[in-house]
Amino acid sequence: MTGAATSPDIKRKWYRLAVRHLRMARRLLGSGFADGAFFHAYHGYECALNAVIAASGYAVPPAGATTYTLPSGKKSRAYPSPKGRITETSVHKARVAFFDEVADRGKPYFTTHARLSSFLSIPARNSALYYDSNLDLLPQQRYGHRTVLGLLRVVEQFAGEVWQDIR
Amino acid sequence: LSQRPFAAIYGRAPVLRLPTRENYIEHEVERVIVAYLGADIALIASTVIQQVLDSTPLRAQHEKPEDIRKDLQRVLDGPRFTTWKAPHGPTLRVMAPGVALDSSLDIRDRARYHVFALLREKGEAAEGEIAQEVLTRLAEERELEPLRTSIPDLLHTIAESIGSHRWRLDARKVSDYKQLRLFFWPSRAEALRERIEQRYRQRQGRSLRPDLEGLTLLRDRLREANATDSDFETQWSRLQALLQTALLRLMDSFRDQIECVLAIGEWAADGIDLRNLPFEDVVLGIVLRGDERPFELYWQLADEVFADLRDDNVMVQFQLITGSEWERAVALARPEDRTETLGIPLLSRA
Repeated sequence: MTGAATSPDIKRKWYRLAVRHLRMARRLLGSGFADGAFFHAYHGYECALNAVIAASGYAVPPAGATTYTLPSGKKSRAYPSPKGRITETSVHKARVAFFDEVADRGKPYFTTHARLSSFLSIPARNSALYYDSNLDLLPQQRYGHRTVLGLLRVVEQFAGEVWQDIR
Repeated sequence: LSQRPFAAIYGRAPVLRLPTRENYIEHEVERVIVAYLGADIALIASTVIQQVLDSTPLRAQHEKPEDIRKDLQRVLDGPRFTTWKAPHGPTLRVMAPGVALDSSLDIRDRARYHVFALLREKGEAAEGEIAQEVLTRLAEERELEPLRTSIPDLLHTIAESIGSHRWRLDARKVSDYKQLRLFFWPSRAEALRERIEQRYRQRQGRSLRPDLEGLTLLRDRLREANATDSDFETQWSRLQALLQTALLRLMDSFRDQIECVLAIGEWAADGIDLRNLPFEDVVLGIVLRGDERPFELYWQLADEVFADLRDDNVMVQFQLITGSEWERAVALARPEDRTETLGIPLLSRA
């Protein structure tokens, strides 16, 4: 016989996932894979954003998308949000936009996020995965150990600031 | 010295033009006309009179604005200048036909002015004819500095392509160019600092400044991608204001570390639908002069330039590219004639 079902603590799950990505990033960096570490640092950051979204009571994209009808009659999908709806189809971008709407701009985590988000972007995350034919750069040529170590410390700090606020 | 030996020594020497108020004004009028591709009297008066009143060499003479106005009128009525009525526009003061431009003015400005003068006269012309005219006129001005901008890049700023390598003067583009120029014109304090730096510091290479050809190309590309959007001008104004803030901050605080700044990614390559902002990526590629990309620099740039630039509609992001990466990319792209795929320059060294 099982006990009564309890609602899962979703914000905690996202925070734990952020910490897990950051630990993987540390391991990869220690093994010489700075590019892989960058990739996981990005996802650690994104999971911390998701923890804030979950703490505000909203579903974290891609969950929560609803279908609505445009004035033209065409159907579209969007995420209902505090300011209306977020129509972005990219889950990564939708999460950042959602975070911007629900975050408390007076908190330390938002200051850190404002700086991080100016360069810890989807194109940067993609360049940690793929060959850049324009610049003829492989991910391992773009991301050096010291740069990623500096980034990782700030993302860890960001995750800590988030958890401090939503725990 | 008595009259006879004086005449023997100096009698045949050419009379030099001393820096009087009148020729100072003449130079300033020419600078404004060349920079802004013709100027109406309001623009000339507002810039030149202020410039003379602020000028250190002339300040000791206690200049009176009414005297300057008289000198200005005399200069404008002189042989170096004439008037031109733009189609559906005001009457502008322009350089008289055949006059050689002052070679101390910026070479890109002079080259663009020659293109403007030719197209004004002919209405339309072939690219080869325009290039020949520009190079001939620059040679007449005894130009030794190479023109680092291509003729098509200059043409894009003021003319429309009407066929294979044929161009026609586009009054709207000329007007847009003037707006852009005024928008990115540095403040008096910045100009002053630039002069002090030039005097007291060993300057390394060329100075970093807004690339007006690149900014025009970016605007045209976005305008094309937003042809069905009636709010384009408003959206572009907002984006342009954010770009201006970012670029001026970069020039202000990081000029020694930056080689150039480019618009990179889809918004530069194909244009993006501005109605989709902030979800579209607006990314600046910052090419560094050195070969290091330390995290401290990322953080400093994020803190001092980008962190407070976000609004609900646009989020400007950046990537760092080292000097050697950039040189290699340009070297690879040039033989294949695809340097445009590297991005659109917004700040460059000229």
